[in-house]
Amino acid sequence: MNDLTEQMRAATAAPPPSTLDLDGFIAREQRRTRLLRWSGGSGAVALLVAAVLAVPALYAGDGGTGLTPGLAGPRCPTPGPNPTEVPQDPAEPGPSPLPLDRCAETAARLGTALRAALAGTAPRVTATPRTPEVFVYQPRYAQYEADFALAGAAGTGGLRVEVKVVPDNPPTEQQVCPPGQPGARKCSYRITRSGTVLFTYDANFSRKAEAYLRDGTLITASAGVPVPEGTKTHEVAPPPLTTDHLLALVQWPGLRLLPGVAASPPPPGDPATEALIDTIVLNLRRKLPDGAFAQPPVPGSPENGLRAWYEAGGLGVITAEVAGTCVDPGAAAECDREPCPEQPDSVYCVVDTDGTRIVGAHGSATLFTPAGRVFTVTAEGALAQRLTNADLAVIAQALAATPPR
Amino acid sequence: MKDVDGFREYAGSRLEGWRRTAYLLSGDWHLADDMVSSALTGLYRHWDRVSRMDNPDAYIRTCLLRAMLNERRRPWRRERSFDVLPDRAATTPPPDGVADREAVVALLAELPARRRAVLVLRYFCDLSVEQTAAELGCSAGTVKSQTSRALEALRARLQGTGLVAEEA
Repeated sequence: MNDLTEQMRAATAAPPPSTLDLDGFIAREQRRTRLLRWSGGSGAVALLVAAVLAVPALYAGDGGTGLTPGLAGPRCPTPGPNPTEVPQDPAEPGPSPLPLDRCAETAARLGTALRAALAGTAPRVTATPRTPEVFVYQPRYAQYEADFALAGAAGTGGLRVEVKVVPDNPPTEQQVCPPGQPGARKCSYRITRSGTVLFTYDANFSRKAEAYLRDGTLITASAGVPVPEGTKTHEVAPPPLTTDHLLALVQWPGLRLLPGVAASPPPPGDPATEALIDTIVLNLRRKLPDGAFAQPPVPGSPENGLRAWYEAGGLGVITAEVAGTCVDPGAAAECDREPCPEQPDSVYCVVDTDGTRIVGAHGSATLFTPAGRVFTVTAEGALAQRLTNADLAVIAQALAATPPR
Repeated sequence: MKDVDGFREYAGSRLEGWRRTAYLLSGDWHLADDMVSSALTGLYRHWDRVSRMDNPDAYIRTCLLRAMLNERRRPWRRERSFDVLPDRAATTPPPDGVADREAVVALLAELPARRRAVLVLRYFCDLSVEQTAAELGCSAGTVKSQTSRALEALRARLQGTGLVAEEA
């Protein structure tokens, strides 16, 4: 068998039993054909019935947009019908509706806030809303949305702002803006000290900014210009709003949580503890981009320095301790300023040029500052396996650099 | 009215051959069944037209080639990274002959898809250069060059074992 043809025939000479059933396949195809014929006929009948039923409603003067008057409160502004939109499958549950009795109030409040935000952030750009209400409520996506036509010295374009509640955690940097990937230079990802995740993407003719607040609100602002057919995207003039403008819009104080949706209030605690916890959250999100931080931060007690702990859902607990001075007799040996002695492999010891000394063992890192402050970060549970000594040391350094609020 | 009996007779007599072709193209019997199933669906729905063609086999081979190319583009066929290496296959030697039979499939799997298709069509389906070019939608010169490069690649891997004869 030195020939390729013979080898191929030999390789296929003993096939395993086939999973193909020709008779079953033909029967399925025949059923499908019958179903298509039946659904086509019944669809035409259903269309006829719907048309007959719709005629009296049209003559009654109700255009069919918005909610039925008298349901509750003022009429909720909703977008007009979109002829190209695919109708929602009634069997598929959509997003949970927001309280409609406050819909009109919320839309008006958001509209006022957005007008103020545009005037404050981009006063030289003329923004004309495409609907008189500015914001309308889109029940299909359970979100408030506003569309503007933009005109400025740099050109024209469109702006869309959406406000909604997202039940999931905000996306990680790895998901939306992975460092080192092509296109990473077009996007930015930042977590503010208050825990708000800010994401921008700039494709020149289309720009976007998103703000994920800690209470679950997502504010999206996107500006773009239409690209005529046959035109290359880099030849199109960018929209008159930059990503900085969009970032300012999504962080505008008035564009905030929707009424009727419970926000998890920030935990009570002293500002120094909250600052420490924010630093821990920020660093954990960077180190564990796939971590689900389902638990809210829990402040500790400032007795004997500060002690705070943070439970990362399913991953374990990380504890941060701050002692004012290095006076613990048990830690006296650690407090001296001698160079790091030779340590077993499991221990990590570094002396920085400014005299800061970091000592770490498995699941723990302690930082001694020249001023005598001691920061200890301890990881328990799965976190201890996933965070290296260097990771814990980075968090300890960030804690040491966190200014008190 | 569709000639279902004609379809059953035609497909039933060639089903095993299509499976073998699909196996050589894909290197996996389960995938081969999927490809044949996909091709059968197209064949059944256009049977009225295909049954009047001079060479219906060419239609089904084109369906198989498209199914192979489409299958390779599916997201779950892309490369993925894992933290832990998956279990390895047993290292006990297979029965006599099995290794030889699997060798040619493994070698084909290392070739780019179109070169693999050229070899399967020419050396397993016994098609001429012109017929292969027509089924792949390219020129005869392209088929010749692809065949030459594919055989060259196989020879380089086999280091003169004689599996691949000189091209006629």
